[in-house]
Amino acid sequence: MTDIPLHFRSIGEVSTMLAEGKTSSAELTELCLARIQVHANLGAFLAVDAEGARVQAKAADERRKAGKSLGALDGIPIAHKDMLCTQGIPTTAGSRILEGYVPPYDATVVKRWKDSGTVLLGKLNQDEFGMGSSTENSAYGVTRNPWDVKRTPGGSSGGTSAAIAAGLCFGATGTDTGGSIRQPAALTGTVGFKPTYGRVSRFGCIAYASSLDQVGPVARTVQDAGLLLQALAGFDPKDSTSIDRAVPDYSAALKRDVRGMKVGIPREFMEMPGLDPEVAAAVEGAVKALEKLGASVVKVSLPHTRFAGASYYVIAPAEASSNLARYDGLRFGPRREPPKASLRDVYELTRGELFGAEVKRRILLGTYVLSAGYYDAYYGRAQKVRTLIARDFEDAFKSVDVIACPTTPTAAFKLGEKTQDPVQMYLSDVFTLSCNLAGLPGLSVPCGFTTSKLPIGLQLLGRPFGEEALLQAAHAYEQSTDWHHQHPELP
Amino acid sequence: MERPLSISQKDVLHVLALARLRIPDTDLPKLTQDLEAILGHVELLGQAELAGVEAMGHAVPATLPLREDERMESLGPKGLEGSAGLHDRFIRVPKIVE
Amino acid sequence: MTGYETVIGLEVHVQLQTRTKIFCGCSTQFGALPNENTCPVCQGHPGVLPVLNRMVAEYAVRLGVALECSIRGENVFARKQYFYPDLPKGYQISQFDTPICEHGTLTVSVEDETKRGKGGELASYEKTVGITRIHMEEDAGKNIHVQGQQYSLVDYNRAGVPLLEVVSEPDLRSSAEAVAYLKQLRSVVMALGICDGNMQEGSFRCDANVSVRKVGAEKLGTRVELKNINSFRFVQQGIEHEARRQIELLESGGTVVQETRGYDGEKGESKSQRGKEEAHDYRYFPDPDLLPLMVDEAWIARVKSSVPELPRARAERFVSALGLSPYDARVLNEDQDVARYFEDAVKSHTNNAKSVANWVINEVMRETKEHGVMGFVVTPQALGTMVGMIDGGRISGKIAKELFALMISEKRADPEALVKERGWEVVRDDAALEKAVDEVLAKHASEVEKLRAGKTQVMGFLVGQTIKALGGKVDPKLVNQMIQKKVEK
Repeated sequence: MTDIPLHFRSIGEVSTMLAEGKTSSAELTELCLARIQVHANLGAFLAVDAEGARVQAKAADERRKAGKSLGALDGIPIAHKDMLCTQGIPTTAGSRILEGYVPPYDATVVKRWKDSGTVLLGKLNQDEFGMGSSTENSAYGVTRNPWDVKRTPGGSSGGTSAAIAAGLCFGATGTDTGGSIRQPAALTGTVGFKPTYGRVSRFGCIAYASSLDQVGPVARTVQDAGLLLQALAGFDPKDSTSIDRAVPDYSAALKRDVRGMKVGIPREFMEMPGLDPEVAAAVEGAVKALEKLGASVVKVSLPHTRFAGASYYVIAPAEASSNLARYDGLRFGPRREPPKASLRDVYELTRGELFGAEVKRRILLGTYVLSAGYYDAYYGRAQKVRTLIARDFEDAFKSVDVIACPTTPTAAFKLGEKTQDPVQMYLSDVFTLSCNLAGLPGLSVPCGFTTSKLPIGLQLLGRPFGEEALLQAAHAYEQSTDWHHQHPELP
Repeated sequence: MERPLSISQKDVLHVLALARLRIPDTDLPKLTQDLEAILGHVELLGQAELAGVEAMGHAVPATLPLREDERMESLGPKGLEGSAGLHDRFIRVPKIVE
Repeated sequence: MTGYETVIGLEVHVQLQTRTKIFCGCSTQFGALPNENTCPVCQGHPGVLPVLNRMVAEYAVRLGVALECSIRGENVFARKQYFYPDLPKGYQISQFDTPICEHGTLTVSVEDETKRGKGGELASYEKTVGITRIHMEEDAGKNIHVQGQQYSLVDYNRAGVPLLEVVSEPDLRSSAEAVAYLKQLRSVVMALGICDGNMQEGSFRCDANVSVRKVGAEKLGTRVELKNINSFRFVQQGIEHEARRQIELLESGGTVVQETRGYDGEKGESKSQRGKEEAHDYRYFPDPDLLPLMVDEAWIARVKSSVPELPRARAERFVSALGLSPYDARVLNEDQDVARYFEDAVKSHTNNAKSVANWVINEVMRETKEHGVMGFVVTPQALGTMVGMIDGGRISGKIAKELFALMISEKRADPEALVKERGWEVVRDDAALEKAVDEVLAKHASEVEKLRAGKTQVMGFLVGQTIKALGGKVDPKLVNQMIQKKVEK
């Protein structure tokens, strides 16, 4: 434990070190900035604001010296997924259509971490507009998995998870619409938390699918994730879908053990075709560990799981096609306007050339399912199926406190492996989609490795606003293992 | 409402127009194929038993919060700074023909 | 033209006079510098979200109650999607399946051109028009065309200003009915305090759906949407022109195409507007950024108890309590500011509402046609006082007209002071009057004989002489009376 280098330490640890004067925010910041440069080949960062970060670090150190520390996150270097608007710092959502766009305002979550004293290092790479599961859909190059640079870190929050896994920052935000925080966390051996829908503000989070999107933290330990979530959560009057409900003290949840906790194993998930046996084994091992810690395991059924993919791939593209209509080249981002271009030309050329292939596919699909005559057949049905999926969980949670299952069907796959067939890529979402459709909280915590030393994630799903139970179970499990002390070998 | 079993290139062209996307003609066949594959993936919806089921618009059972009719500071044209189309205090666009 | 019936339905966009926009806190003030009243939300930046202005819902319920609609308890907002530069998000937040108000009525008085009353005024008939729905939505920005240039300019100040769209049933059968409906609806929204009714500034905009059919036919003809008819005059002309166009088309064997046409008031003609391909597919779906708006019984009851007196009710009260003619009552109630002015003036001089009404309708409304009656230099109190002076015989009607003009030109709403300064007050000195009359009668004995003999024309001469003798400051009626009395003796 003492041999773990500073850049792999948890927020909990460095926060104590900061309080004890064993390090400074400036030192941590320089460390991160240097590592970002050294490991630029990972492609995790899109924009780095070194100057701004140094100023913030200095301010944090001064606060601490004056006894006015803002708390556990004060002076901790973090980064935001490029899906989140950061005032004065270019924000692209991984797309060319927002190249050069500098938001005139901060997202609420950006402001909240800022108010906690964190140091903003820069913006993290992602699949364009959140659409993808490997970050290969970024218009600015791929991100590589620190555990094996020939593999993807997952997506869409690939930059986020790679940065955390590689020790380039101490905490980061991701966004999760169908699994985009949890899946990359699983593939990179980090902790990724998607809160209940409405728990965290979406104001300033560039919208992909409004009824599914949530912002959440990615970190190296469950405790860190709890700390980061604490600072993010809470009602925002600027977001009509954020819920006005008190935020509990998440750190208190970590003090509780899992004795008496009921853990549900969904039959349909464990029987999913394409589930890698090594992943299945690691997840089963984690469940056994929870049992040893005092939890009891209950078999549950989520019968409408098989419809989750179909429902998601109608609802998300439909909402996306509408949310992305504002990217028209007229107000922000580049504009394609050849001489004598008509308005129609500007729209079609800008959007045609500056949106990537996956985004165009989803916009077209979304436009199609909402178009005259098809609403009931697709969108209408998909929203009803959602109700059924939510009901499945409601029923299951009558007899269990949390649901445990794999986060992904396989460990990290090779770059280029799934890019030929869009549907292939969609199949890697199967375990994470239902959670978004039902609006539930979910997290991924490391639970082992494959024989080729690739991380495997355990997914825990909870009741609406049941973040505490998830933190409780995940922390108890994590502390009984050594996974979170293992880090990729990087030069 | 009957769902079509496949999406034709004509359908794709129609949707491209609705979505204001222009692609090279040569891309049309592959795009049509891809969309057809995705629609195949979602065909499964047709098998769900949906009698008497309400659509779920929002994950959270809550009602709309309301804002008081009080003025807040307006950013104004500063919000359009950096835009390629900024012209004086306006956004310039190709002439709109009614 | 005979044998055909015109069927009209009207869609009115009422711009609400809330302080801020429907989904953000930007000002709705007209006339600001381009893009001054904008923020990331109404500019449609990435990541922004709408938050509903409570007042917009309040005003919608208020209008629904006034128009006797049923008010919906659970309201969903929908996105109406199309690409246009004045629509920053690429969609308009509106209501589709769940309009906040439905199935109401508005009763209007329509002037029938073919009948006139005793005083030459137009007779009228009552028409009850169905209100199909009222829903909330956001306005778009403005596209500004630049003369001689190949570009247009976009201003988002108006983007996000709240609108209520009021859709009528196709119950209207003539341009007169359409105009009457619009005038009444405008009076109502102004009386409710939800809209300033300023048509030049675009606060009250109207589109008409016009179709024709053979009298007696059951099916409706193909309807054409007529746009850009933003004054009562253009509404009337545009509808009549369109009806004629459709009838001529049908008579010559053609068919009416369902389309949108823009009316050019200057040229008196209309032109087809929208493109032929993709008749708009708006791809409506519920806006996932807005939860349902709940309007409960308590809210509705509160609004019901606070709705102010509506124009029709007030007009009826003017007739029953103040004795005005229905026509005058209607005219006074077209503009709520005028109605209020009239009532305040009557308060100052309660004996003769009819006379006050005449002054308001003929003089005040003429003078304030351009800028409205608010802030008019002749205050209601001044007007009331002046009419009181006429009725009290203190000034003649002729002098009153001069007094009115003087108050305006001198910008002084003080009739008492002005009359005193000009010495216009009629002298009510019966002794002096009697003396003067005696003198005149004595001087013109032959005229007195003629008068006694029944030649009433000479009265004018005798009155004139008396007035001259008194230096003009006398009420001719009193002189007439006095002479009569003396002569009869």
